[in-house]
Amino acid sequence: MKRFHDAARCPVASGATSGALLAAATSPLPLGWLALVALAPLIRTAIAGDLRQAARAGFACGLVFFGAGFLWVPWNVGGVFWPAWVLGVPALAAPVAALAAAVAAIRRRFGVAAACAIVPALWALLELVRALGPFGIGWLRLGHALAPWPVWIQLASLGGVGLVSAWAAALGASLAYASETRRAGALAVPLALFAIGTGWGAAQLAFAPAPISAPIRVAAIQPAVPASQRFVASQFQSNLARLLALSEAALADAPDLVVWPEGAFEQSVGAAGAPFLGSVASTLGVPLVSGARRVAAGDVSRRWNSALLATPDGDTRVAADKQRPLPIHERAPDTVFAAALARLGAWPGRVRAGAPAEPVSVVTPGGAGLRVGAVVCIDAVFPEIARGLRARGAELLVHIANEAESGRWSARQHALLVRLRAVETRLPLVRVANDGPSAWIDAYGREIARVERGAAAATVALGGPGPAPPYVRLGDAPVVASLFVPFLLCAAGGGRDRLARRRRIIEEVLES
Amino acid sequence: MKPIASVVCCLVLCATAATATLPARASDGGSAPPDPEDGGAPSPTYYEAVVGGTSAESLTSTDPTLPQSLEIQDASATAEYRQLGSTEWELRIEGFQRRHERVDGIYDMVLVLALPVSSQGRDAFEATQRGFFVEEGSPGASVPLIYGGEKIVLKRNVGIEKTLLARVIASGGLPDLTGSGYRWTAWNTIARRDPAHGDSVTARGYLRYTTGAGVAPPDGADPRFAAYLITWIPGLPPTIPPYAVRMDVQPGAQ
Repeated sequence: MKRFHDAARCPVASGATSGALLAAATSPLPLGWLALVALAPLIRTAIAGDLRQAARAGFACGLVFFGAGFLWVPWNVGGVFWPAWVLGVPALAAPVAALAAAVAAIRRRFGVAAACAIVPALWALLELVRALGPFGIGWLRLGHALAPWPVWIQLASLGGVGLVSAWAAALGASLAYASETRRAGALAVPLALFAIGTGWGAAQLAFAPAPISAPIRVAAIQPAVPASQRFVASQFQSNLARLLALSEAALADAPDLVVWPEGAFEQSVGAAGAPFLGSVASTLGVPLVSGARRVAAGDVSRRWNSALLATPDGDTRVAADKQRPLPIHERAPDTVFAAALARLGAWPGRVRAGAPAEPVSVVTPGGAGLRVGAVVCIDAVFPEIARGLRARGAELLVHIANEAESGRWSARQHALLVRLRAVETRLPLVRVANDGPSAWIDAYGREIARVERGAAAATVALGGPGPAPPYVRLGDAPVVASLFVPFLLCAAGGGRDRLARRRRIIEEVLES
Repeated sequence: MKPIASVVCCLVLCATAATATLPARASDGGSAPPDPEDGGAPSPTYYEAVVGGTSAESLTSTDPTLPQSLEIQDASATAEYRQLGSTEWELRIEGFQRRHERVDGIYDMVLVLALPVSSQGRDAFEATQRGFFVEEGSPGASVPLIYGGEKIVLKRNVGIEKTLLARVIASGGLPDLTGSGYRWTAWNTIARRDPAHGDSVTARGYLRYTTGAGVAPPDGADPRFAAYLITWIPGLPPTIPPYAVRMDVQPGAQ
């Protein structure tokens, strides 16, 4: 009873502690390991308190977590994102409150073990649902925090970042269980969970099969054009000259593919394609992937944020359109609500959501064929996009990005989380960002090389893809569903215990 | 990147006087820089005239800008199809001279050549080297043209053929070669202006290719046949036509 009161006395403080740990873990700071324990204070409160206390703790957790975690958005972009942040953070915190309340309710109905066992499934489900729809939020997933440690993210090949998140949530919940029960040996649960996750990752890395195709040399061109000088007509020539000079320099390292970042080619691309971009590839003699704005034939108000492939024969084709334009700031209003905001001038976005793309075939200067899947900007945050590209035959993921407007914080976050996309798909990945970090990542999520901020060009050889992992075939649903199994087992066990206790009580009463 | 564009220049013959419709009239074509003893300021080059200065930035646009027409001037340079063997050919261009363009910018230099096409519409030729090689010097002692520190080689660009050339042909800017056994092909490179280059650019060049047996050279008497060198600054609005020089086809030699 005393432990109950200890934990429940300050639910807001406990929740806020978890929120702070989560925010720190998912930040670009080297604190990602905190994800392994971050949920423990919140879950401890949830299993020790009543529903109201648990909900308050969860809400506090969400406010701190999302408030701090998304502060970079209004801080860097400003404008309409300040009110969006003020309104959005409580909206994001509410489901965390509901999760904590649900855990408390389950504890009352099925016991502490079942309450802790449901946490991984609920947390994974929460992250999954949060990322759905046009307003979906794919950032700040618990698994992203563990990206710097390849050994801890190999579970993503089985169940995506959701499974990594669930594993971290399970560790936090099991620590809360050990703390709450204080049974001898209760710490064996988190230790076993940690050993299983780490062991799986270590085995994957130690026994990785040889890549199924030859390495490819990819040149990343990082022009570092300031936000204020992008898409300014008078800067077009000088920005292009910068890209060309860096690309020429990169040719010294004999790349098989040259990649320019998101929106690097600043001329809008119409129905006729991008003949000048084709000329660049022709002059370089190397296939070129570049970001560009694409407009519809006859209607320049319809535009997409695209990746184009230009081949050395001068041809160009669309490699991908951004599927998840940033709501408000970028995405064109496509709901009644958004259209109403647009009429009020509070929805500036004009970019259409693209359809899933097929990988594009590239022939390297050496004559090798390669199917490249392009991922534009924050599409890298959503696992299903990269997974779809692998399922459709991609052998290399190219992530083009530009965080000139959204700032260094987001750039570093994105540079970390794309490692999950490599593991989930077992594809090598190159991220090319306007002002860095650009990175080359192998099919196991290991960063091979990186270019920090500033104008630069670098060429790095990447190994080929690994065998298609289960996650590519199965997706999220089976994994999330299977995460409920431990809860069902615990609940069934808890039910048997309760029946046995009641039976003993009845027998004692009858005997007396 | 190779600094400027003037490779174009390389091939371009300068020209004759200015165009009829643009303020650049006098300019680009002249065969040589003005004589300093004349005392007059050099006339503007084509892009200098249309841009109104030596920087293209004030007119550059980030909107879609595929040119719709060409500003074509005749030149005294010639294109000659020489049959080197039963199936080996050399297309040689001689006599180019052009003033060095003074507008600082990035240029796409597109050489447009008529080459054999099959009845199915496919290429009926195969280049035996990686492109059209541009040279300078006398006919007996030619050396690769170095511009902006790079050897200039114009490479095949089917993207330009499908976009820029298709549009220009459709608008009547280039003659339609349908039925002639030839079609227009594009060979290009991108260059950034090299301010260290002299006041004029002279050049010659060649493309070697093979065909099937029995292919005849273009009929020099057919006015549709010619070669063109297009100088294009891609950021300029579509209302400013790229500068192009037309070269006559000479009867071939064995």
